[in-house]
Amino acid sequence: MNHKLLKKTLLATAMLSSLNSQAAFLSVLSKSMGTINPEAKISGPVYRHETKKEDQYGDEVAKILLEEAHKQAKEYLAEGNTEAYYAFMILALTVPNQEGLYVHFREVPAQEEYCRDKRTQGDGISGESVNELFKVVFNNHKPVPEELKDVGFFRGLFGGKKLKERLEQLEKENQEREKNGFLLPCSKMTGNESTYRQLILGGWDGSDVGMMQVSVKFHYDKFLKPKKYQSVRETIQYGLGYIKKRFDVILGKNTTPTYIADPESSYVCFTDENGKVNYQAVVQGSWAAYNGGPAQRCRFTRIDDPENEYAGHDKGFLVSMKKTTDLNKGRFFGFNEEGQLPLSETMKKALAEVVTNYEQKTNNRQHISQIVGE
Amino acid sequence: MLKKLILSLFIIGPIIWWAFFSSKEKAPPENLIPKDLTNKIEGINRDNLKKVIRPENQKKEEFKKLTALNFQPSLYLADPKVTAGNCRKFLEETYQDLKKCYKDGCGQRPEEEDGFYDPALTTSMISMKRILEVALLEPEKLEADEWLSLDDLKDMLNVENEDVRKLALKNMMVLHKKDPQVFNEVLRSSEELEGEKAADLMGELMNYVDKDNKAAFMETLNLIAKEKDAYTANKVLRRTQDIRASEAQIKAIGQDLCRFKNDTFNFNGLNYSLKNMATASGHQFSLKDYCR
Repeated sequence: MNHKLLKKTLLATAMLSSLNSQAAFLSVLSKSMGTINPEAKISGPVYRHETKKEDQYGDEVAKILLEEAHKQAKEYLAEGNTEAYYAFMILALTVPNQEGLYVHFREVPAQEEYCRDKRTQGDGISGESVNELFKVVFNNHKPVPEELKDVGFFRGLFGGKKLKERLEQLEKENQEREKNGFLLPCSKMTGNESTYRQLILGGWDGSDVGMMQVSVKFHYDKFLKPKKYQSVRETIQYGLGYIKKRFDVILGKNTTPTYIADPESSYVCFTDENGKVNYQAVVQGSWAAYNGGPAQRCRFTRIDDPENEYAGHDKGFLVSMKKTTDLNKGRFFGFNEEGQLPLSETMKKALAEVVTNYEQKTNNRQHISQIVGE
Repeated sequence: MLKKLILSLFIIGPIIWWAFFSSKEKAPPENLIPKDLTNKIEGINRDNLKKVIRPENQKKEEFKKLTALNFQPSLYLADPKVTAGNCRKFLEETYQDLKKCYKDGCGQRPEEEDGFYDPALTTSMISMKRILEVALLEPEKLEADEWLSLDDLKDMLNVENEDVRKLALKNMMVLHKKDPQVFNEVLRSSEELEGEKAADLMGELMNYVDKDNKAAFMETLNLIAKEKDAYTANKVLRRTQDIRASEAQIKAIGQDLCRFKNDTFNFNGLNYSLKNMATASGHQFSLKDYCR
């Protein structure tokens, strides 16, 4: 096993599984937040730990999730494929919890303990071009021209003085440009702020953005460039759209006899022993494909394989999925007890209805309809 | 002589050592990472392309701008640094280099942390997309029809990136529009395609259907209903609902889809698609009733 990966997996698992106190939950969030420029515009619910109930944060997040998931999946309802519809709703309720603890933006007192300038400036990202991409997108930097990237090495040695000056000039310019970046290091705040707004930047190195943990590395054109991260709804819409494509392929091909009959088919992991669709497997496989790429869709079947480097990811997802499916058994909505998000009675009933319909293959929508506006 | 040589080594050696290492110490940490290790660390973006693009082109402004973070096709072609060079030659050569391996990612490896790899999102695939975007903007100036052959573009209809598929089709219809058979050539490509790839092709071709080629288009829909799997048929019909088919044509398609009536999931989808197609055409049709 790759030792670096093992260490990361263990640390990530430890961080997420040992959250049994308020301090621990907030501490995990704080390690993964970049601070937003007070002048920047954002839209959507903002998590404030002390006032989450009064803010109705839980309802706002759940409403967006149900609405956007419904938009993606309603054709399944129209077709008469209600099981598929509710499987996607379960997926849509689970992924943002698994990925972002149902947090996209948060607001905290303007105190030093909440500053993680390393995340704000993408300094944990080791790849040169991804690091640069982060700074261009979030810190308003100008890209470093190719000819300036090796200046340090030749500094003072082979007459690279002019290049050195240009690099220093660019560094100064970028320092100045940072003031207008979407993210702003706390060291550059005016000091008059009473609170900081923050964006969750997860993953090992802070390169995964927002509640859906969209990677900076792969989603520049359609997510970062149009600044969808500035909106909770647009981030969820984008993430759910991406995962829906995986879900559709799995479900569509899964039920095609050619694929079922072929034991070598990589879709056979989605049927039960009677050849019928196993919707839990479809949900797990969709997320595995979201997390690891399309070829990883059956990765979850090797959850107990000690040789499987990513088993921890799928184990974690199963835990998150259980949190969702316990919503009709009295469980709270949220990552854990300290991160729980109080809900209105209507919303609790709507979420419970989703789960019950999923489990019992029914289609009662009395409360769901009130939320998604049918 | 030997003594002088040894003496000079003792004097000059430390001077060289001091100059070399003292400048290194002042350099920011990231510049101390050897280039080949940087390639291993990131394995994406420009460094992946450097393995496949011919070396002389990697130094060109056309290459830097093509791989720039803020690439936009119209700005690329208007950039004086790009127009100063031979953009057409660069694009053709880069296209030829990428063609050899872009479908397999040109050596790009899965992410170390989570094993993430999506063939639709590799650097080489995105670069191919950008070349197609540029070719579509200025096809005559870039003489794109000479280096983007019909066969090459047909090949792209089967890649994992939906933007590349759509751009390939658009380029086929623009660059090779003088070929009276181009529409039929594209239609024939559907024989090799499945699922969302077939659906993207047929859906995009809807934009080019006219009274002269509609019969051929409907024939292809029939063929798909007759020969493809339920998933593919469903996807294609969903994208071609607005074709305005006659009642007879819809029944003919329905006839070929009855074979799927035991595939509940996809049959539900097919029923819905064909019902919508009928409604959009001013008819009523239920596949479930028809196949009883």
